[in-house]
Amino acid sequence: MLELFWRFVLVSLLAFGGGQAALPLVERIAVFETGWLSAQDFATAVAFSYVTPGPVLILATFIGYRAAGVAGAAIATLGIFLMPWLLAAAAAQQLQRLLQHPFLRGFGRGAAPAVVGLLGVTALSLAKPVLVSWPYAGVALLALLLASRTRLHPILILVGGSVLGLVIGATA
Amino acid sequence: MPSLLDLLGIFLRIGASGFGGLGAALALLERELVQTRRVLTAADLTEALTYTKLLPGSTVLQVVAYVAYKLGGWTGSAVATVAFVVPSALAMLALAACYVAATALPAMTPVVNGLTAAVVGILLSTTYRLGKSNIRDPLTAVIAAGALALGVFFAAQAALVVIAAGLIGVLLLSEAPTGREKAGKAKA
Repeated sequence: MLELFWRFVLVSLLAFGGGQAALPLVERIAVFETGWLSAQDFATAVAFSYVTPGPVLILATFIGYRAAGVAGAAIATLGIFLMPWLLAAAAAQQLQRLLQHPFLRGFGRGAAPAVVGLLGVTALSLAKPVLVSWPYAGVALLALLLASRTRLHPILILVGGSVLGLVIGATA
Repeated sequence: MPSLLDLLGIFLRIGASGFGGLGAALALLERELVQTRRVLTAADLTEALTYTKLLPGSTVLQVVAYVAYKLGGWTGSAVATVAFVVPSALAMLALAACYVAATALPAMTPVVNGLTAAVVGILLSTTYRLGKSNIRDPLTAVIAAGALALGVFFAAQAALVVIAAGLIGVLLLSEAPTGREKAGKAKA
């Protein structure tokens, strides 16, 4: 339980570039390093975080629930949001000057491309269990095209993917 | 200035209706606090976004924390932030509980596979988008490729990779932004 808390605190402190940028960190830690949930569970958690209102990192609630029930959900949610809240309120109070310190900007500029690389790792590891069959690879490709070439809302892409999965399951 | 109860109500409402990430939440904040109640200006929102973008953590939550601090100090910020998170946390908890029950059924497997495939596509598109805005020169390209390689081939601890990359940034990318961006444009 304590581990759940501090690991999410750590993720939140490294999430330069916002919630999306923290996804690979969450996946590496919750799926790969601790095994709190499977890659498929994680993919579902990401999908749910797009479907629910509010921040994407609410997927911490899902992971906490999978790892340790309702109490785990509360602890993980607190962990992922506590420090960012403190930092933001402190920034509003006084710390603007510190935030523009070149070292902090440099850290963010170096961390951001690393996160891009790790996001690639996350996409690959989620792809492994599903892309063994051609129809699902087609769904992933279609989703990639729709997400990058159109302004279609992610929720619609996710619903479409689930429906196609149902069709694939029924015909296979 | 709105009372704590006002803040609670406003941010519960925004938290429950802010579908679609940062953009949607900003639009709701703008309509509620700038246009309707006139307790903030558009410049306050821009300021909140500018500063919180530099901080680690969920940007949308931090914009809420920042503007609520302006409206009600530490207490106001705490109340508003909790109110903002609670609706989505409850929704997520409900979905998680349903998911655990539903995946016990074998019929759900293809649906979850289809969902996963769609998530993979969306994440690849996000990777591309984040890459375009954060990889600007050979050094950042090397950092991104290095992180990918470390993750795929060496199963490196993700947190350590990010910290190491951040420290490289402190050493090599801390100078004023203008010079570096000009150099990048000249090359491109």
